[in-house]
Amino acid sequence: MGKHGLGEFEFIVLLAVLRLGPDAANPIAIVEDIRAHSGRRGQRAAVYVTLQRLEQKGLVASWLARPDDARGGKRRRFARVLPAGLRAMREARATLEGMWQGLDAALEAE
Amino acid sequence: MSAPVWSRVLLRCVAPRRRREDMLGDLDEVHHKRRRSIGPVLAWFATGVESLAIAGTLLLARWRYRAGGEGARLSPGTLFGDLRDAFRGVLRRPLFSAVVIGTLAIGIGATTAIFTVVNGILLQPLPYEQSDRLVRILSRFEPASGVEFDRFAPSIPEYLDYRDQNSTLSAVGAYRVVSATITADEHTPERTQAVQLTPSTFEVVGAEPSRGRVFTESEGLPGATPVVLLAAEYWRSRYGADPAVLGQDLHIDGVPHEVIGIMASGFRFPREDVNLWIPLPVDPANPGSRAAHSIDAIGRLEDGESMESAAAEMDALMAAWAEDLPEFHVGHPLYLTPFLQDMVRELRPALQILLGASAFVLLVVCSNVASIMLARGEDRGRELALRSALGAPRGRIAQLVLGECLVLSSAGGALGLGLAWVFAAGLVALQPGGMPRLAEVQLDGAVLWFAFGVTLVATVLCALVPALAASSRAPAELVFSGDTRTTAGRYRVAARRSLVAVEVAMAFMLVVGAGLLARSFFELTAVDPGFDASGVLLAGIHLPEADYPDDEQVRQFLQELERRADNLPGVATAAMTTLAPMYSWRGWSRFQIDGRVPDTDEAAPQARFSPVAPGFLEIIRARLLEGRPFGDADTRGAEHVALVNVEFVRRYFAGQQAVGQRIRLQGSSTAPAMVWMTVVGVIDDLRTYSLDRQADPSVYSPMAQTRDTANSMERSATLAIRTEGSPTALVEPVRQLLQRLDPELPLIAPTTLERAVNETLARPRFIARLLGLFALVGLALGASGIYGVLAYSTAQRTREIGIRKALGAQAQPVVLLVVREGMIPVAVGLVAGTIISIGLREFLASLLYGVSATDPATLLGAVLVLGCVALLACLGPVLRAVRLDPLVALRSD
Repeated sequence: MGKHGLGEFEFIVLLAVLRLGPDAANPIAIVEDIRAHSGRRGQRAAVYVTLQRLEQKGLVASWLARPDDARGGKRRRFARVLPAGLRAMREARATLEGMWQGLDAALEAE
Repeated sequence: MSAPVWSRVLLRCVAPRRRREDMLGDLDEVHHKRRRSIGPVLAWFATGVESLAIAGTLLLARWRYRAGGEGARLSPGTLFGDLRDAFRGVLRRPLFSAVVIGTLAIGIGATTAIFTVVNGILLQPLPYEQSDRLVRILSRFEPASGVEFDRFAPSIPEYLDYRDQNSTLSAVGAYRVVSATITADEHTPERTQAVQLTPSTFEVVGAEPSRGRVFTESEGLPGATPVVLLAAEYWRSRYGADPAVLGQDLHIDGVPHEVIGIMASGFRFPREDVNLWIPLPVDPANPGSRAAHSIDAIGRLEDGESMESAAAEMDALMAAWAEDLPEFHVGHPLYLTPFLQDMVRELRPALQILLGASAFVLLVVCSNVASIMLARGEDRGRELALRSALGAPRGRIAQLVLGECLVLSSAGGALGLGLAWVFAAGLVALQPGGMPRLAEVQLDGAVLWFAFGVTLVATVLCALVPALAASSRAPAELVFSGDTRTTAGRYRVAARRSLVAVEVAMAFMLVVGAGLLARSFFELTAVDPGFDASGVLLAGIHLPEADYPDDEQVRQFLQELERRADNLPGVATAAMTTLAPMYSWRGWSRFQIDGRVPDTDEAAPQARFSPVAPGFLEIIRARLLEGRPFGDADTRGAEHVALVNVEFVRRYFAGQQAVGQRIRLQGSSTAPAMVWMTVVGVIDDLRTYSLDRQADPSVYSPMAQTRDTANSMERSATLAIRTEGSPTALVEPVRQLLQRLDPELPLIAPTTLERAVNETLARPRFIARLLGLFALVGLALGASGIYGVLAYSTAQRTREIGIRKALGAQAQPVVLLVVREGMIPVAVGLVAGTIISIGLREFLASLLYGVSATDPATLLGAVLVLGCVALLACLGPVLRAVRLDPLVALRSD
C-alpha cells in the first residue's frame, strides 16, 4: 500500500484522526471513534504505539494542549494528519479501489 | 479519581518521557469514567489489566525497535524460530514444564472461573431488548420523613404521576410479584410465582408473545375480564406445549382467567421463577392511597436520554412534589437506578471481592513462576551469554525468555480455561444460595477473551523480571567465569527475594480475607436467633378468595387443619402462623399506643404485626421474658391480647412497664381504627429474616382474634409442626391431610425450619469456602516460593558455609544465617500485606458480620500462619546446610 506501507491499523487510526479533526483527536477519542465506526474494540495501547509510529513516519503531528483540571491538571495530547499523511491515505485508498475493480461479481457469487 | 497507584507507577516506568504526562492523564480519565459505570472494584481491576496491556505493548514495541534497529520489526522468521526453540525447550524438561504449567493453570483458572461468574451475573445484558436502557423506579425515606429506608416500593399514585410528568422515559410500567394457586384442571393444584403488571410493562421490556397477544389497555383496568399469559417453559412443562391451551380458562386462586398468549421462550420477567403474567388493575381515576407502597416500577430511557439526564429530571420533579404534597413527599423522593444493577446489588460486593482475591492468586502464581524462570535463567545463563557475546541484541535475548514464557503460559491458559469450565459447571450444579442469573454463568466469547487477556498478562508478569535479568547481564561475565556469584548473580537473588515478598504479601491478604470471612461465618452461626430450629416442619397454605370468600370460613378451615395435624402420628404440636422465621415474612404496620397521640400519622410507631396460633411460639421455643404466653382461652370473644418483643419495648416503652399497656393497629382512610389489644407478655427477639439482621419491633396476636384486631383474616398461613421424629417424614402425611380437606389446595414449599435457617447461610458459607481455597493455594505457592529461593541461595553459599564449618562454626549460626536469608523477604511481605489489607478494609467490610475488617486477632493469626509456613519452607535448606560436610563443600568448586 503505497511507498509508506500503511498497515491496516495505521490506516484506521489515520482515518479516525482525520474524522475527529485536530481539536478532538486524542487517544481516548480515537479508540471510541474506531469502536463506533468499525465495531472493533481498539486498545488504547495499540493507538499509542501506532500514533508514535505514524509520527516517526512523518504522517501525523501531535502536541500537548493546556493543562486540564478535569484530568488532575494533566495535559491531553492531540494529533492531526500532516500533508504526507493525507497523501499516504489517498494512495492507500486508490490502491484498494484499484484492486477492488471488477470483483463485485465474485463477491456476490457466495 | 486517580487510577490505582501501582498502575500509574508501572506506566510512569515504561512510558517514553515525552508521552508520560498525557498517557497518565488518559489513564486517570478512563479510570474515573469506569468507576462511575462499573464500580470501584471492577474499575480497579479493569484499569490494572489495561495498564499492564499498555506497558506490555509499549515494551514490546521498544524491544522490537531496538532488536531490529532501523528495520523496526522482527522478521517473522526469528519470532517463529524462537517460539519453536521455546517449545522444544519446554518439551525437553517435562517436570519443570509441568510444574510451571500447572501453577499457571491454577492462577489463570481461578481468575477465569470467577470472571465467568462475574460475567454471567454482573456484566451480561438481561434477556430484554436493549436491557441497558431499563431503569428501576424506587422510592426512599430520608430522615426528614421520620423514618429511614434506602429502598422502598413506590405507590400506584406515585407511579401514575411520574409516568405522566416525566419526559426522559419512553415508557413506564408497574408490576408486582405475587403467588398464585393454579387449580381446576387435570393437573395437581400448584402454587407458583405470577406477576401482575400494567400492559405498558411489555412495551418497556420489549417483550413479544410467541403465540397470541399481550394485554390491551382496557384489560389493565379494574373489572376487566381476567386474562393470563404463560411463560413458554411453563406451557411446555405443565401443558406439554399443547396449543389448545390458548383460549381456555386457567383457574388462578379460584378465578378463571382466559389464556390469551404464550410468551417467547426464555422470557422471564422480572425474575427467573415467574411462570404467569396477569394484569395489574390500575384505575387512574381512583388510584388508591399514595402511602400504599406496594408496587415495583420500571421504565425505559428515551432514545438520546441518559441515566444522568433522567435522574436530573427526577430530582427536579421531586423538588416540586415535596412542595405540592409536603405531607407525602418531604424526605420521600422517588429515584432511578439501572435495572440490572438493582437486580444484582446484593451479590456485587461478594463477587468483586472474589474477583479481587482471584487476582491476588494470579499475582502469587506469576511471582512464583517468575521466580522459577529466574532460576531457570541460571541454567540457561551460558547459552544466553553466548548468544549475547555473538552479537544478539538485548531485545532478542529478552524475546527468547518471553517466547518460553508464552509457550508455558499458553499451555497453562488452556488448562486454566478447562479448570474454569469445570468450576463454572460445578457452581451452577451446586446452586449456592440465592444467586440470581446463575443460568447465565457459562463460557462465552467474553470469558474466552478474558482468559486470553489474563494469559497474556501472566506471560508479561512472569517474563518481565527474568527477561530483564537475562538481557541485563554482561556477556563476558558468564561465558568466562562460569559462575553466578557475581554482581549480576546478586541482582538476581535480590529479584527473587522481591518476588517472594510479593508472594507473601498476596498470600497474607488472602489468608486475612479468608480468616475474616470464616470468623464472620462462625459469628453468624453462633448468633442466638431467639428460637430453636431443630425438629420443626413448615408448610404454606393459601386459601383463594373465590373458594373461601368469608373470613369465618378461613378461620374454620385453618383451625380444622391445625386440629387434624395435631392428631397425626409423630406430631408433638401443630399450630398455624402467619410468620415463620426465614420462611414467611410480615410487612410493617402502624400502631397507636393508648394514651399517646402522635404528631402526624407518619410518626406513629411501626412494627411487624403477626397473627399466630397460641401453640406457635411454643413450637419454635421462643423465650417468654415477662408476663404470660397465649393460651387456649385467648379466643375471639375473650379480651384482645398481644405479645411484643424486646425491640418493641426498647423502642416504644423504654423505661416503662410494657405488660398492661394497650396498643392497636392504626386505621386508614378506608378502614377505621381497630380494637385495643392489651400487652400480656414480652418475648425475646426472633431473627426472622436472616441471622445477621437484628429483629424489628414486632407485635404478635392470637390468630383467633385477628378478625377484630386486624379487621380481616390472612388467607396465606404457615402450618408449623414440632415433630417427635424426623420432620421430613411428615411431609407426605400432611400433604394427604390437606388433600382430604380440600383437594384443590396445594401444600406450598414444605421444608424444615433448620433447612430454612441453613439456606440463609448458603451464600456466606460459599464465599468463605472459596476464599479459603484461594488462601490455601496462596499459602502453598508462597511456601514453595520461599523454599525455592532458600534452596537456591543456600546452594550458592555452599562454599561459604563450608568454610565457616571448617573453621569450627557451630550449627546455630549456620541455622540463623539460612533462616535470616529466608525470613527477611517474608517479613517485608508481611508488613506490606498488613498495610495493603488495612488499606483495602472497606471492600470487605460489607461482607462481614460481628468482626471488624481490621480485626487484630485475625491479622495476628495470619502473621502466625504465614510465619509458620515460611519457617517450614526453610526447614529443608536449613537441614541441608547443617548436614553439609565441609570437605565436600570445599571440593565442589
